Order: sequence, then structure tokens, then C-alpha cells
Amino acid sequence: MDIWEKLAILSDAAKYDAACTSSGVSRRGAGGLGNAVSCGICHSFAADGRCIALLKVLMSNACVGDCRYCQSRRSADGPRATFAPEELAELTISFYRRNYIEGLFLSSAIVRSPDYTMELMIDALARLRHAHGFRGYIHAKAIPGASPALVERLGLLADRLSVNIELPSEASLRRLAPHKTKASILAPMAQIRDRAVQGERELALYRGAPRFAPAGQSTQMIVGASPETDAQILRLTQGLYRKYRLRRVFYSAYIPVGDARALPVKAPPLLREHRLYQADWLLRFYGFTAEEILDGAEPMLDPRLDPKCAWALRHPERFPVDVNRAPLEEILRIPGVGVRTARRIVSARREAPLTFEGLKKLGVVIRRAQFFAACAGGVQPGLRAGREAVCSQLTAACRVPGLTGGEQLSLFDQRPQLLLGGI
Amino acid sequence: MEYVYDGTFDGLLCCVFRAFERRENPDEVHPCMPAQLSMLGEPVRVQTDATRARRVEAGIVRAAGVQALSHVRDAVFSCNPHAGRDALRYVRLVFRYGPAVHDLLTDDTLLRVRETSQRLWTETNRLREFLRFRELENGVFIAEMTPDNDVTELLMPHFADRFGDMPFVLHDRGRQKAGVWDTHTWVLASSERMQLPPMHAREARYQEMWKTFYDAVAIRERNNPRLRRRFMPQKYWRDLPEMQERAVFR
Repeated sequence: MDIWEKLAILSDAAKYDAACTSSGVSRRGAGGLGNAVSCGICHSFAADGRCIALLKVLMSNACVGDCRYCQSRRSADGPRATFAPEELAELTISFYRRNYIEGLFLSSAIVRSPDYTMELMIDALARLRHAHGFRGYIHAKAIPGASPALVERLGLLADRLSVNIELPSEASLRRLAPHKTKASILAPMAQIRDRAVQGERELALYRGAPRFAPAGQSTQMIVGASPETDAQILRLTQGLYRKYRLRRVFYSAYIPVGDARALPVKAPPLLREHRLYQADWLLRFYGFTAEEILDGAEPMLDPRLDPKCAWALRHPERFPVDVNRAPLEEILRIPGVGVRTARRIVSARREAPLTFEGLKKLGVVIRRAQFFAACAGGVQPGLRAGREAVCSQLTAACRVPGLTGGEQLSLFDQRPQLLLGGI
Repeated sequence: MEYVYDGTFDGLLCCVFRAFERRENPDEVHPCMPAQLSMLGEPVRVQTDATRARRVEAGIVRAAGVQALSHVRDAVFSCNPHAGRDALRYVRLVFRYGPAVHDLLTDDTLLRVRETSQRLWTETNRLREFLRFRELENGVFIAEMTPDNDVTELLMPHFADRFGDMPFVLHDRGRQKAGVWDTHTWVLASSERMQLPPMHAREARYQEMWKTFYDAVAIRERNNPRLRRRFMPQKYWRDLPEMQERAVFR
């Protein structure tokens, strides 16, 4: 089979992987080919608006597994292909030289066995790094069930490793991904975490220590194929950030490509995915905990409001926050104030007291912040609205930009009936 | 009164020197002689003098650090016609407030200077993303662009570091300006008489393979052209192979 055809098949099969970031590591070029920029660079945007930073392909889609949500499952029809390691390395280099990509994202279906698959991937990456001297970005998937020695070798070649958690609970895994277990997913995750800690210690001792996955690890889970609630998903996410030191958790709205009999066929829950990402940002950058974002009473994120607004409305006792006095942590809690803006507020108020006019210049979204912030002149005049009125005004102000199609907003969202324990 | 300088960073710094020395407050500071003269008469040509430039440079850094200096430098590359004037006014603030100038985030001069810098670097970063190289028959790669700001010089360090072993030319069509990297050093040159050899035989095939990849990674159920346009503005599309028609051969 010609490489062009393989590319078509194996990139099509890889497209449901959400991660396409090239961030987290900075590396100079050293006269050869390639460098890495820690903020990451996107090189294109696909018709669905998602960024393209890496050549995202599978090594092979000839899977022995039969996960029911996956289009590469053994029982599915469709063409099968496997890259030869050298041809994949050359393709990556040719795309990289044209500035199409930041590097390679290599995942794979399980060919023969997890170990055999990993050896194929390691072969391709080793050619790329050593024979071609490639210093660009590499993101590799560790295959659950592969031996720790192979994960170790993979991590020394790649910048970022990831193991997909796939589904947010063990029960769902058992039902939909019979070849994967919670243990087989968490074992490599823990190994990668421990090895990274060890690597940092070695690096402190001598500069030339080999770097193991310097951009850390990430994971992804499918949302909407199984009945877990947002509260469960966020608690799981928080646990992953805390216990496994993940850099990112990605969510992917379930798209019915798999076995439709086992899974509900609906439009992908794009809005739900969007709200989960917003909540994820609150966890990572705004000092929120999962329990704060969704306290026991509500199992799902409000589709009408972003999670920060929703939290603020539930906690009127915390507002208004005086932007001229409050510490950074409290300013971060004001809806309409982002991380950068919050820092600017703290910096600008050293020179002169801030007014609403000034806040606007700093980049605060007044439409949202006006209900929750107090300035030199007190709260925004004429704002003594009740909870309901504030809520409806915020709903108008929180409309999701760029999100069209997909599921319609429904206030009477059907909730999953089953509550299953998270991993 | 208006100033004209030679379009270099040192030239702009000498405008600062003159404005302070003679206590002048120019209405505009142009990087080259404007095509149309204003009613204020002939602009003053400010001579570039490296010694003076270094003195101003050191003074700015001493007063408010290298960040302040880079705001001034950005004015040289900006397409904003008032960038030079704003930079001069900004330097006044720098000498008046010292490091606290960075906290004046609601001051209009500072806002304008920051916006100028931000626009310049947004475009630079966009081109780091969307610049596309083509391989020529002789093994040299070329990328063409039509940027609003004069970003060639700002892009060269990034690409020279990235493509250490690959000779390339970065061509600004509008300004007829080229950045050339020969795998050892990079230089800026005029591209007026640049003649390009034909494309490498394999170039078209890689472009078509890239289009194949681009089409394959999009998820049809999530189609969202507005979102794509927001991240990848249409003005860059003319130089993106993936936004051109697909060839029928394969």
C-alpha cells in the first residue's frame, strides 16, 4: 500500500484523540532540525475549528481489541493499514520542514500484542530522533498492558506521554472496552509519574541526565457514551491532577462511530464538553476544587451558565469583591476576570484606585463582572438585581461563541439514571 | 512638528534623544519620509548616531528594565502610523515613573503602546504558525507572506533555530524584503531582483498529502467554519496549501 493511502487511513483513525498540544517543553535547535517552544504552536485549524499542531496518526489500525466506542475495533469494517517505521519518520520530517507541523503525535491500535505495538512505535521514534536528528515535539501514547521497560524507552524518546483513561468509570470500561481495565490504565500512568520524579532528581545531580517525557503526561476521556455525571468526571479529573500529576485531562464529546447498538446515537454533546473544559480551567488555574464547582446538590454543570458564574450565583455571601483590596485569589473568583486580567488588576491598583472604567481598559468583561465586583466608587450604579434577574442577564452574557450545531440547549436535559462509582 | 528617522531602532532612539535635548514634542515620528506632507511643513530629519542611541538605550533600561526598551523597539516594526509618536511619549512616562510605568495599566499612552506591541507580536506568532515553506529544485526552501507589520526580522531567529540544517528564504512580498538563512547566519536583503528556481519535483506530492491529512483529521459531526476562521483568519489562506483546491490526481 502506498504511503499516501496509509496516511489517509491512519490519520482518519486518529482524529478522535483530542490532544493536539505541543506545549510544555522548550528546546533550542542546536544546528540540526527542530526545536520546541514551551507555549506550543498550532499550525492549522481543521474545518471543525480544532487546532492542528502535530501530525496525528496511528502507527496501525489493525486492532486485536474490540472496544465498542472505537472505529478501529476488530469487528468494524474498513481498510486496515500499518506504517513502516522509516516511512513514518520520513513523512514527519517532510511535513516539519514545510512548517506544517510542530512534530508527531503517535498513537496506535493494538497490533498482535501491546508489546509488539510499542516496539513498532519505539522503532519509528528512535529513527526520527537518532537517524534524522529530529529535535521537534513528540507526543506518544503508551499502550495499556505494555511492559514497563518499553514505557521507559518510549518516555526517553517522547516529550509527552499519555495513557487514555477512555471512560470515566470502571463499570463503563468493563461494558464498553472489555480489553482494558482500570489497573492496566493506571499502572503505566503511575510508572510515568514516578519516572518523571526520578528524572527531575537526576537532573538536579547532573545536567546531562536523559530527560524522561519532559512535557509530562496527559489523558483523555470520552464524555457522553456512558452515564457518569459531570460531578463524577470532575472529581476524577481532580484526582488525576493531584495523584498522577497530569498536565492535562482532555474530554472528547462522544461521536457515534462505534457499535451503535451498544451506545446511544445522539448529536455529540459539544456544549457539555465545553462546560467541562471551563471547569477544568477553574481547577487548574483559578484555585477551585471539584467539590466547589459542583456541590452535592447538582450532579451536572448548568448548560446555560459557565461554571464560574454558576458558582458565584450560589455564593452571594462572597460578593461583591473589592478589586482595590482583595487578594489575588479572591479576584480570580470574579466572573469576567481571567488569570491575566487578575494579575493586571493587582499591578494597576498599586498606582491608582481602579474604577469600572479602568477595569474595562484592563480587559475585564464588565457584563459579567459588574454583578460581583466593587470598585473605588462602590458597586456599579443601578445594580441591585435579584438572583433571577442576574441569572438571566448572565445567561445572555455567557452565550458560547463559535459553538453552533451539535446539541441544542435544553433546560430539561435528560440525566443518566445510573450513578456509577468513579475510578 | 514632525520627525523622520531612518527606520532603524537606533534612529528611533536618536529621535528620543533629540526630543529630550531640545525639549520638543513632535506630533508624529515617521520611519521614512511620508508621501504626503502635513500642514506642519517639512519634517525634521533626525540623524542616526550610534553613541547617542546607546545612551538612550541604557537610560531606558536603567529606568524601567528591558521590557520598556522592547516596547520602544516594537514601534520600529509596527505598521501603526502613530507608533513612533506613541513610543516617544512612552519614554517620557518611563523617565517620569521609573519601574512603576509598568503599573500604569489604565494610562492611554501605555495602552496604545501595549496595543501596538500586542498587534505586532500577534502577527509574528500567527506567521510562526501559518508560514508554509516550499522546497525548490536546488534544495532551498521558500516561504512567502504579506504581513501588515514588518515582521521578517522578528521571524528569522525562530526559523533559523528551528531549521538549522535547512537553507531557506523568507519573503515579504509587500515590502520586497527577504530574510535569508544559509545554515550559518541570516541576513536581510531586498527581493526586488530575486529569481526563484522551479519547485522540487516532490513538492506538489507533499502538499497534496498534507491536504489529505488536513481533511482526514476534521471530525465531520463537529464542523464549525466560524471557529476555524476565528483562529485562522482568512487573510492567511492564500499561502496555506490546505486551503487551496484539491488536485484530482493521486
